[in-house]
Amino acid sequence: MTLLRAQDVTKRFGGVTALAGVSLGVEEGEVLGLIGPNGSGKTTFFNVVSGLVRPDSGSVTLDGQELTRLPPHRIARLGVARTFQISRPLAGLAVSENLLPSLHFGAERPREVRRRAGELLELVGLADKATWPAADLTTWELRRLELARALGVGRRLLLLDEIFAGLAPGDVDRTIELVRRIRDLTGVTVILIEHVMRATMALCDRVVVLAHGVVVTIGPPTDVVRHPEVLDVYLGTREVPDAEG
Amino acid sequence: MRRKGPSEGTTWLLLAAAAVGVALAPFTGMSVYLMSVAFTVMFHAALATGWNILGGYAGYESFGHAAFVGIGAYTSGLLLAELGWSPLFTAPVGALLAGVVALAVGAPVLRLRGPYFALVTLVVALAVSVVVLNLPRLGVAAGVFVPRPHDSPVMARFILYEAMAAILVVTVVCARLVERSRIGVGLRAIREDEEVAATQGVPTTRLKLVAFVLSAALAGLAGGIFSWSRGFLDPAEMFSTTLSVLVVLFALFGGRRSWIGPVLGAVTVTLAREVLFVAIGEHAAQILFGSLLVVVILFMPHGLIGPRPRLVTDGGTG
Repeated sequence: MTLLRAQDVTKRFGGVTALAGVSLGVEEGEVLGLIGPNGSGKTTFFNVVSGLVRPDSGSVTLDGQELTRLPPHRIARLGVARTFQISRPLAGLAVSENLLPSLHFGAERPREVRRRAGELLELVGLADKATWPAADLTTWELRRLELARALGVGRRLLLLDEIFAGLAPGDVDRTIELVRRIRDLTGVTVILIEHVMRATMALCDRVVVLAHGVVVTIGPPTDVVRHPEVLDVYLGTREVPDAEG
Repeated sequence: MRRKGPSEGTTWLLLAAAAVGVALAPFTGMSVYLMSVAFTVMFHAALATGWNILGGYAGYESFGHAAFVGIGAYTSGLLLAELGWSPLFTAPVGALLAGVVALAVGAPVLRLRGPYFALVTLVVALAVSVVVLNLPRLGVAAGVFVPRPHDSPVMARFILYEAMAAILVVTVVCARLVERSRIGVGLRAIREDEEVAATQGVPTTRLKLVAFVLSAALAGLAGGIFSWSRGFLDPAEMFSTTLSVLVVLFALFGGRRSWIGPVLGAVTVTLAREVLFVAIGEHAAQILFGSLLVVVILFMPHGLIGPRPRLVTDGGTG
């Protein structure tokens, strides 16, 4: 069953077309990888789905419900949550306090919030740092905090934006395990933007390749990495796309 | 939330005890002068605590708080002067009107952030005062005399003291309830990162508006008692930009994370001003005081109450 469906989503920023008619469907319970060179529109796609950016045209539906005209908090309350490419903790608050907004304004009953926050911190391995200022966490800890925070409200769909970037190899493995465990425990659907191919290959049921705001191909990860157009446009055999930043 | 926890109950009990203490203080034979200083201190504390609901918890620093003081002062003062209503009713009517104005102004103004929000609130407040100043019946030329609470100056001061004490208590209770509630959680998230807050399900626009309206209504309430104490409605005093700025300073100086910060800030700064005025004269005091404040804000960015008043927080597992 298709949980999320994007239809002809187009978004321009001035003269730059970030998304040029993107259409794709995400099946309930799958982990979908979203890859592509920098500037290919991956994060813009997340911004559109989570309501931070309104597309110029096209539609995004969750279970048939149109999302593009809803404000971000309404989309979140439908069970769609995200992490940010550069971690954005509520830095002035304690680690456990970072979970309160999503739990209080998501689906939890007030009485359940505290217990649920504890569970989520336990799940991502931050229980012993619950009272720490969020600003004092390391990169990997911040990623896990954002993951826990997203889980607080994201019952249906998690949008994970490069949660593996900059992690030590061992931490990449542990995070792969964590995402697997979360998926198995909650049955949540995941879209993963990722440059770390090892994580993409290990986690994703299907992979979408974006380039210049256009879907190049969709398929199982092993097929996608052999797709000639992908090799061209993304991994780069002839013209290497600018891969910095 | 820990609303039923013992520490929470103890805090409310301490607050109640403090409120009783403040209410009974005049019976120890306070002089009229002391009562009038205490009145100003409590007026400032109430304003700063109300301001902090939006300015501190949500980080939207308004520089036009006096507009709502003025609206409350004029509404209450006029009803008092023209219809002879009791301030028990006129002050809440003033609060209501201040809240309604905040509701109307808030929707567009709360889209702005940081310095833009600060500037626009300052300008809106000036505009409101100019409008009032130019209304034929209300302008400074015509002026409106507000009847005093009592013929005896001592009794008048006593009544004003108790009225302002009651308003301070109401304000602190409101601020603390907001602080401990889901609204407080949402406002703090807005302060830290509004976009992230929205993606967590926080209805940011609505919460900001709620905080703004509550903050304005509390200012209107205090304004009503303020005009009662003055006996004359003077736009320059009721819509004082200096007061707007002072309110911000009280909260910054005391600390903005909790209601206690603005109260502490208002008490210390107002008393210091009073003492310095007497000791070294108004102008020298203003200069000294201004430079001192700059130093404090530079070196104590979190104010008197410090960066983290409580380490173990709601939702913690520890």
